[in-house]
Parts: sequence; C-alpha cells; structure tokens
Amino acid sequence: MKVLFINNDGGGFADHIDVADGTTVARLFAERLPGRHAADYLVRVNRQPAAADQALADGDRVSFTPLKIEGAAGGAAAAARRADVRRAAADWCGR
Amino acid sequence: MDRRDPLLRAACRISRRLGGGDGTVEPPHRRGWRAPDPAAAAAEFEAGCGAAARAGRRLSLALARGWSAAGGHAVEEAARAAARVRALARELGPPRRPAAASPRAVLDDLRQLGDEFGGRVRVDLRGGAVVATTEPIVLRDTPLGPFAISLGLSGLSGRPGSECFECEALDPNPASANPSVTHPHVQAGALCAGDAAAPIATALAEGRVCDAFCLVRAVLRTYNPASAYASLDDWEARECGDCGRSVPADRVCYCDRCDRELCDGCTTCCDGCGAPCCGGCLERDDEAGTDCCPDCRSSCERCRRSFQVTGGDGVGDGGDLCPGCRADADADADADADADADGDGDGDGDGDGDGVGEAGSWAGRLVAPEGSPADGGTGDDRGGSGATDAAAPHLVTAPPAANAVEAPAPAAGDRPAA
Repeated sequence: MKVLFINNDGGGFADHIDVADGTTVARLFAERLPGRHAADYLVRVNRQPAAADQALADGDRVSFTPLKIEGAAGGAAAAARRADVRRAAADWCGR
Repeated sequence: MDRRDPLLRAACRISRRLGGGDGTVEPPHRRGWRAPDPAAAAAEFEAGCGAAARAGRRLSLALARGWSAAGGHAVEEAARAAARVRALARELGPPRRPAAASPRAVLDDLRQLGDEFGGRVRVDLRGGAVVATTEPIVLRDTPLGPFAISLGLSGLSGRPGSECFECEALDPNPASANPSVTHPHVQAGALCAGDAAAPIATALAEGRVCDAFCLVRAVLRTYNPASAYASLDDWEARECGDCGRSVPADRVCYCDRCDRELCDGCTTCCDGCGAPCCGGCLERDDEAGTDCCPDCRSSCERCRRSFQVTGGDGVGDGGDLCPGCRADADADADADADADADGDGDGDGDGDGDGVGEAGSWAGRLVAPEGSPADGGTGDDRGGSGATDAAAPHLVTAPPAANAVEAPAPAAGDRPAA
C-alpha cells in the first residue's frame, strides 16, 4: 500500500512510499528514522495524533516533525561571539 | 463552507501565492531539485560516472586477457564506483516541482495548526498574516515568555523560507547585553532557523503551513550554545561599573554609597565601616594605608590630607585635624599651658583668663630710657640709629614668677596703656 510520508527532520521532503500491509506507525518510524526516539517527534497520521501500534492504511498521510531543532545566529553575530570568547580568554589569561 | 471564514480566505490566499498565481516563476535550473546546490551535485555526479566508466573498462580488459586477479580488483572497484553514483543520484534527486497546495489542503493545515497550538491561532487578513502563539518558552531556567509566530503571506511567492516568519516576544526578557535579542536565536524579531531552514522551506513550498509553524516552534524550544546571538550564561549578566566586565546577575555587588553595580574584583570594603564600595567612593590615606568612604573620612584643615575619622583604633578622633596635625596642636596647647603663670594657661599672670595683664597693664614696669625727659634728659637727642625708639620708655619685665609667662616685647612706637 502507499502512504504519503512527510519527514520534517533534515530534508523535509514529502513523498508517497510503499509500505507493507499491517505496518504500524512505530515500525515505520523505526525504519525511516533509525536510532531516533519517537518521544522527540510529533507523530501525526492524517493530521491527528497516532498511537505507536496504529496500523497504517492505504493513502494515509504520515508526518514526523521534531520537537526540538537547533537554531543558529547570523554570520556576523556568530563571528562577533567568537571574538568575544577570544577576548574573554585573553583577559582571563592576563589576570 | 462560509466564504467569509477567515481561515478559508487565508487558505485561498496562501494557495494562490504558492501556486505562482502572481506570475512569479522559478528558474528552471533551480526548480524542484532536492540538492541545495544542484550544479555542484551534478558535477560530482559526472565525476562519479567517469570513475565508474574507467573501472568498467579495466574490468573488460582484465577479462579479455584472462587476468583473474586483476579482474577481481576491477570488479570491486567498479562496484564501489557504481554505489557512489547511486548515492549521488539520490542526493541530487529527480527534478520535480512541488505541487501547488490546493485551498482545501491548506485549509486542513490551518485547522491542524489550531489543534497543535491549543487554539492560539488568529488570521490577520488585513495585515496579511497568520499568527500562532507558543507556550511560555524556558531555556536553561531562563524564562523568555511566549512568542507570537507570524507568517507573512506576501512572502510566500517565489522561494519562501524561514524569513517569512517573525517571532515577537509577548513577555520579553531580552539579553542584558542586547535588548533586541529576545531569544538566543531571535534578533529584532527575525529567527535564524539553523538546521530547520531546509525543512521549513520545503514545508512552505508544499503548502504544509502547520508543519512550518511547528518547525519554527521547535527552534524556539531549543538552545544551541554554539551559535547564539547571546549566550544564556550571560543572559542576565550586568556590566561592572568600574572595569566593564560582564558579571552574572547572581554575582553582582553594589556600592553601598552610590549603588553602582560591581564585580567581585572591583569591590573594596571601607576600612572604617566595612561597607562595600566602588573605587570612586573610597579615598586612600597613603600615610595610614587605609581606604575609607565619605562617612568614615575627613580632610585635614591644616595639611588637607584625607584621613579616617571613625572606627578601628580611634584614629583621628580629633575631628577636623589629621592625627599628625592633631598631635602638633596638642603639643602646642601643652606648651601654652606650661607657660601660663596661674596654670590656667592664658599667660597673663592675673588668673582672669583673658591673656592680658592686670587691669590692662603690662606684666612688668616701665623704665624710662636714659636721656629721656622721664630720666631728666631733654628728650631732643634723637641721634643714632633707632632714635625714635630711644625717646620712648621701654618695658623691663620683672623676674618671672615660677609659673608666669613672659610678656611679649612691645613693638616700636607702642606705648603701654595708662
């Protein structure tokens, strides 16, 4: 059967994939996001919360969205921050 | 379905923007490729294909010449090259343009958005934005308050990304060093999405508005110390008023006199009262080696030296004179007291304390100089030096009593009172 799989971790692509009949949400998660913990993700089937043992049906829309993602500072801010760290280290050594 | 439903109207507007209905067309060479840099990925793919082709030719040559060992090596090399080409093909991705999301799909997404954000979603059609409010954000015990994540609909044309979002702190607790930084990854309302940039862009391009909002919220819930506009370690830090160093909020000291914020290194206790003070409020007594606050020091009226006036060993209890000048003053007073005839220290010998002799008279007797009328002379002889003084009677003091003080000699021209 085919399901629409949305992986919002990394590439974030949405694609129709083939899954075996009787595949559960937990099994699909383990296959597509090996080594990750489901508790760290919003797991939705057809836009609704889903149980780990819920069996997928043909045409289901399955999405996995991480609950936490590392942001960043802009380039100039990061460079300024690195300069501050270097300056603080120099001050510390000077003391 | 009510056509006046704000969600429906917003869904239609979003679908129209994403579908390119405003005439915006993405360049073909950028359209829909999975790789962030399709040109570079294609160059690498071409190189990989070349390596696989060379391995294939070596395999053919080895088989033709019966070189089994060389053939075996060639097979392995060809297999590795082919695997590399397959990986490059997956990375490059087939060229495809994301299907424009239908208004129905976007409407479903907006309804899901309300579920994911606990109903804290509103549509501002006039301002052209969809706004979802997060729960209060706390990172490493630093409360940052809730944030209003606003998606500007006008930015959805072309290649929408995280720059379409604004994050407004509703109960701001900005970094002490930079008030525009309300979150380690938000400055002036702009989010730096970091690892979420690519999935946010893909979600918006595909009309998955709810996924995009959830990804923005995921960034707000996460602290990346390696790349932040301001570190949470220094979030509530203060600046030392003396040296300018950053001081954690729980280690700030205050000058007891002027309330200036100080670091540990710039805080010195007054040697008089022990109060913590800044360098500007303490003044050093170089002779005594003490630092005192304004309440514990005074300026000597004689030598202008700053000295401690309270505390400790009673140094400088003399008020307006420093210890050295006080000692000098005390010595002078003792000397005056010793010279006083009645011991009262006034030096006039009559005990009335006015410093003047009996009934205004000098403490002594007058003696007419030789040749003066009082002495039987003419008084006209004024020759010689000091002739003016020669005509005036001069004072001869009586032999001093045991406790008498010698009266001062009269100045030239002075005449004793009658």
